[in-house]
Amino acid sequence: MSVWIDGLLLGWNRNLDYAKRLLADVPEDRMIYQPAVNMNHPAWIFSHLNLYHPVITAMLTGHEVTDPKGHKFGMQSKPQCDASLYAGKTELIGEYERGHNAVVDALRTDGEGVLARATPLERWRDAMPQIGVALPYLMLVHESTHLGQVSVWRRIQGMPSV
Amino acid sequence: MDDHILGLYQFSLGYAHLLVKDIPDDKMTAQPVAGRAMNHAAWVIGHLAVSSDFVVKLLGGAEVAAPPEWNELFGMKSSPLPDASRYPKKGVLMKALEDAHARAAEAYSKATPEQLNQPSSDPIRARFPKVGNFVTLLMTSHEGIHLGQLSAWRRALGYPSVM
Repeated sequence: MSVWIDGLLLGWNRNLDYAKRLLADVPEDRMIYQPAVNMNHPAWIFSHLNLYHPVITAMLTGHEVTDPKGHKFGMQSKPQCDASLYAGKTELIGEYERGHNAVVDALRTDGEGVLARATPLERWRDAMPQIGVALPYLMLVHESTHLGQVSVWRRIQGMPSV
Repeated sequence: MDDHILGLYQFSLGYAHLLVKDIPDDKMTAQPVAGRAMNHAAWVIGHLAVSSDFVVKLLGGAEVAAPPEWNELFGMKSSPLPDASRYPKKGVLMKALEDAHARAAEAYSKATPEQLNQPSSDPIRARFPKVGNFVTLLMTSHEGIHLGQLSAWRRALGYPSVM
């Protein structure tokens, strides 16, 4: 496996570890808490991030990619203060971990072979023409940005840094 | 592959610009909730500037963008301070971030596979075996986390999303 993919997986696995630590001490009933108006809460953030793992895996395995944009947790959605709209904390982090592991398996299986292929989603192709360009954005930058939001969500309530 | 990291790095700089564009100088160190210390905009931008300078040093460069005293104010062990007078103005911070980004991007674009495959020094090596691993993380995830913090800080202050 290439140094490049090694590096990608190093960051990806750090995201998983960080995500689990960010949620470890969050009570179930706080998962939809919004300390400020329109602030992204963990239930929305992890529901949103979980959409992208099947997208990444599909890109890597050559399966059809479903655009997450229009999904109820897609980029145009907003966090709601209604717990019934979201899966519970255990299920969300469980799905997050399974999604992460599926991406790792797909990358290790044939990551090198697909990097030069065109990004399947047409609206991404301008900014990310090949899968090898899309991967670091989806796996590192996009996830990290949302995990950073969780860290602030914690601090604003007086929860300790992880 | 190097171009992919550089493209993302440039994207992050653009996002940083958007996140502070409408923040006046006197709000750059605001704490939305009394008694809670969040990473405010001044700290995040300065921290990313010194982090980009660190990329330059990791890749063997010597010329950095930020003054030496910024390491205490914005380095890894620093915390955001409530005293706005301790921080440079927004324009100075953003200029430093732009310069640091440019230097780091140039250093990265010229880095050889041998440089990137060099073992990291202790104690970084335990988490990032190779220099290239750590540099990649600093230029991608690290920036993402702090810009995500900045986006949440904005929301807490009542500013709209920029995306």
